[in-house]
Amino acid sequence: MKIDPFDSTARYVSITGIMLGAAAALSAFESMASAFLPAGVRIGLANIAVFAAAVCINLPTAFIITLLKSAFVLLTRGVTAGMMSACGGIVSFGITALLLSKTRASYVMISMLSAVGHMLGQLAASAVLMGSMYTFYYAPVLLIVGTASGFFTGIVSGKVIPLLEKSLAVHNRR
Amino acid sequence: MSARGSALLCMKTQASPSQNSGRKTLRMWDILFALAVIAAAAAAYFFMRADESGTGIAVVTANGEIAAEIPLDKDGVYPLDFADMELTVKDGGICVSHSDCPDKLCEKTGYIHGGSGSIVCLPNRVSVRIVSDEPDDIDVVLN
Repeated sequence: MKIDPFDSTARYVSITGIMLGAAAALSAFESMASAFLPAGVRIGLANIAVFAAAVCINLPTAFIITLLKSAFVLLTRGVTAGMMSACGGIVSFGITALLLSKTRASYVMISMLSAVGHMLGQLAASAVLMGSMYTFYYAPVLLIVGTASGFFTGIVSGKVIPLLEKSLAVHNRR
Repeated sequence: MSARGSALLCMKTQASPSQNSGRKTLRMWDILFALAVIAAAAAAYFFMRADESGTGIAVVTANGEIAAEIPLDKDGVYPLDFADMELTVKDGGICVSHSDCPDKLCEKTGYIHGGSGSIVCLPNRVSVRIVSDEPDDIDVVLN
């Protein structure tokens, strides 16, 4: 059955709002959790929400959620964090969109590559902000962290997306 | 797809079960890829670590320009005058012992020693890295 959240504007807005809320909540939870993790390590939980939106709704909506999530980070954690979030998010979205529309790569593969892209986008942003390339010292560490966290979020996405598709399909039938 | 839906932002729905239900969550290839990337990154990490060794000088940059150089052979506390930060040198290593930035990533990085990376404080645009004070930093001497 075709999943079409667009047969009603109200449904589209509410579903997008729920996904954005999930992304913002996961992002906030993650910034609290990262207090217990080594410097620079992030789990990328919010990627699950963006990725699920990309699969279950469509790519432009996922992009809007990415940008609004960065706006949320900008409001709650300041300008630097917001800029880093936007740069990482845009690179990560680009990779997700490409792999999702052009290849049959698995969820875990897309998730890993987009997490690594997120980190490299942030590194590039920090290199520009700092005006130096020394931040690339972190690249190997971030590659390991990105691959591992992408693997984890890919597995979670694989569990979440079928459930979301099912519940959207149920509503479509009514 | 109704007319109202397509009018909204001119979007086309991406997901249809025929497109995504065939997509697998995990393939064998993914695990191999993950292990290969992690192994390569770990090798690069240790290579970069081994690249520099011994005590040296900590170079502090602010906005991409060298702002201070701190010798690491003597323990001490160095407050920075261009940012509300304080560096501490101990046993040939250096750390950010205080910073006014919101995320405190620079403080959490802890001590760095020769070759073990750099400390970056993005909100203050400050980075600290260790360079060797030995003359082998010079590649070629031209007469």
